[in-house]
Amino acid sequence: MTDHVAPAADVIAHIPRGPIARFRRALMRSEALSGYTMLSPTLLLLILVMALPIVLLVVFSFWTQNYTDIDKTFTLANHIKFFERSAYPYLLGKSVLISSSVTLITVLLAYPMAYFIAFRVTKHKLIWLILITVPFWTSYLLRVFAWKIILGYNGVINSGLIEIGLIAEPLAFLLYNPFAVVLTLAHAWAAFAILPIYVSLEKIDRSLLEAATDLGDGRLKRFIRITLPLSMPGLIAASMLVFIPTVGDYVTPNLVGGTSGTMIGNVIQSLFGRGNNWPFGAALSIITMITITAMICLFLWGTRSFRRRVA
Amino acid sequence: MTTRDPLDKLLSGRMDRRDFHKMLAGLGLGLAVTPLRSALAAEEEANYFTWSGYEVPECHQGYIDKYGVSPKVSFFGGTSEAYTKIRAGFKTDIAHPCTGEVTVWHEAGIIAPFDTSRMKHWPDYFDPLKNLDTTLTPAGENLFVPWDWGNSSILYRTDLVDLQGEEESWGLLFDERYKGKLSTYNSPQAGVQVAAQVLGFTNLETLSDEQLAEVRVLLLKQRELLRFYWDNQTEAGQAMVAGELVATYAWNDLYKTVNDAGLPVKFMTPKEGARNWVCGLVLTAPKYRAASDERVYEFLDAMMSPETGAYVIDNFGYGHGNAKAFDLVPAERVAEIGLSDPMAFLARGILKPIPPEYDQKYVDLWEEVKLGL
Repeated sequence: MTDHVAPAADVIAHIPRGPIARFRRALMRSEALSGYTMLSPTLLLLILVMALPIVLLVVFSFWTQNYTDIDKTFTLANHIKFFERSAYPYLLGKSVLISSSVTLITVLLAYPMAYFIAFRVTKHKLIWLILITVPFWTSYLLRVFAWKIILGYNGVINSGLIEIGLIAEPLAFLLYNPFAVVLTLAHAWAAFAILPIYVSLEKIDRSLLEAATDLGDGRLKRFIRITLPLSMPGLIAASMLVFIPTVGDYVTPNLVGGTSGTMIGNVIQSLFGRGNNWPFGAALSIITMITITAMICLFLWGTRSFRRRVA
Repeated sequence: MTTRDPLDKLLSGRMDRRDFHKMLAGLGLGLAVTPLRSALAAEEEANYFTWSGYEVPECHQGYIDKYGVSPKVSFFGGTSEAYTKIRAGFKTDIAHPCTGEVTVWHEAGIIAPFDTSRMKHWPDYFDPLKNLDTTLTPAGENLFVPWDWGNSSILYRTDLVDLQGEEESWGLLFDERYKGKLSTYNSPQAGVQVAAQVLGFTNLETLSDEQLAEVRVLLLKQRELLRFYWDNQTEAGQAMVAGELVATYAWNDLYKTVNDAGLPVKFMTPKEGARNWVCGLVLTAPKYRAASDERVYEFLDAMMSPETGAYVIDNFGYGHGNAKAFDLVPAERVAEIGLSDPMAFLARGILKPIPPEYDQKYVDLWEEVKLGL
C-alpha cells in the first residue's frame, strides 16, 4: 500500500495537526507573536490589575449613585457636576499646585545630594546610598506622624523655641495647613528623587566634563552645558515619580493638613467611603488622572524644549 | 547516583528547566490550596468588625473561656466606612454600628435578624433598648443588640472657656473667641444636626433645603474656627491635653481621659440637649458570614454578659444593654459618669435615624463644607 502513496501526501500526513501544533508553527514564524507570548504572564497581570480596573473606573464614572443602589444608565451627570461646582476644579488645582511645590522642593533638595554621591564620594558608594534610604525603612505613616511631632503644638520646634525664650505661646501655624502638607510630602518622597538623579549623574561620561574644561568652560557653565542636560532623564524621572503619586495622596493631608490642607485625594477617598458615591468618585479619579497626564505631557514638552535650547 | 528528590537536584545544580518548572508548578498549586485545607481543618472563629478599642479580651472573656482564643477583629473608623466595606464584599459575622444605621443596612441587605431565643442574656436587657422601633424588621424581628450607649456633647476646659454667665450651649463650638482652638467630630450627621440645634431647629432628622442652607452658612463659619475635624477621638483628646484645644465635640468617655491627665474639664449639658446615642451589634446576612452560628451566638453571649457590661461601664464610661451589669459597678462610679438612672436616660429619647434621602443630603453638605464650599 505504501508504494502507491505520493511522497507529498506522506509529508503532509506527518505535520502535526490540532490547535497547539498550529500555534507552535505560528510562534516559529512570527517574531511578534513569540515576543508577546514571552511577555504574556506580565501582560496578563497588567491587564488584570491595571487595565481592567481603569476600564471599570471609566464605566463607573458614567453611572450614578442612587443611595444604596447604582443607577446604570449612561450619563455625564458626574462630569458635569465636577465643572458645575467650582470647588472641585479649585481643589484639583490646589492639589496640583501642592504637588508641584513638593516636586520642586524635593528635586532641588535631592539634586545636590545625588550630585555629591555621584561625583564626590569615591569609596563605599553603596553605604552612602543605603544611608540615604535608611529613613525610608520605617513606615510612611510613621514618617508623617514624626512630622506631626516635630511641627505639633507641643512639638519639637515649638518647645525648643519656648525653651530658648524666643516665643511665649506655641506657634499654631506650623501644623494643619498646606505648608505642613508640602513639607511632609517633600520629606516622604525624597528617596524617590535622589536615586534616579544619582543614576543619571553616575552614567555621565567624565571625559565630557574634562573636554568642557579644556575648551574653557568654567564650573557653572560646565554644569549647565554638560551635567544638567545629561542628567535630565534622571530629573524627569524623579519629578514624575514624586509628582504623580503626591497629587492623589490623602493620608498626609488628612493627618497634617487640617481644615485648609485638603486635597483632591481626600474627596475621592470620602466618596468611596463615607460619601458612598462610587460613580462620582470614579469620575473625579478619571478627571484627576487626565489632568496629571496633561501636566506630565506639558512638563515633558517643556524639558525637551529646554534641552534643545541648551544644546 | 541519580536522585529524584527535586531539592537535592536543585542544590547539586543538576536541575534542568523542566524539573524546575515542575517544582514551581507544584509549589504554586500547593500554595493555592493551602487556605482551602486550613479552612477544612479548623473551624473559622467568629469575625467582629468594630471601632478600635473594643477588641480587648475583657469584652468577650466568655468566648475565650470556651474556645481558647479571641474572635477575629477588624476595625473601621466610622459606620459609613464599615457599610461601604461590607457592601464591597468584606466578610464578617458581627458588626458594631449605631441605631441610625440599622434600617439602611437592612434595606441594603447586609444584615439579618437575630434569633433572640438563642441569646442567654437577652431577658436581662433593658426593655426600652430591646424594642427601639428603628431596629426591628417590618415583621418585628430584632436586627440589633444594644451594646453601648451614652451622650455626645462638648468637653471644654473650665479654666480657659468663659461662658460669661450664659447657659452651656452647643454654640461654644461656633464661638469666634476660641478661633483655632476648637474641634469637632468629622461626622455628617453630628455636624449638621449640632448646627441645626444651634439654629434652633427641632426637626433634626428631616431638615428642609432652606434649613440646610442656613446650616451650611453656619458650618462654613465654623470651619474657619476649627483646628481640625477629628476622625479618631484620641486625636482630640491628645490635642486637649496638649493645650491645643479648649473645647471639642466628644463622647462621654473622653472626660475621664482628659480629667485623668489633670486638666480642669467639664462634659457639657447643653441647653439644646445632648445627643444620646446607642450603638450595638448586628448580624450580617448569610452571604457575608464566615463563622458558624454556634460561635457567633457564643460571642454574643460573651459580649452581652453582665461582666462585660460592667467592664464597659467602668472603663469606657458608657452604658451597657444588660441591666444586671449596673449592679456589678460601684454606685459612685456610675454616678460619676452620669449614668445613675439608665431608664431616665433612655426615656429622654435616643437620636432618631435620618431617613436615607435626608441622610445623603447631610453627607453631601458636610463633605462640601469641609472643602470650604
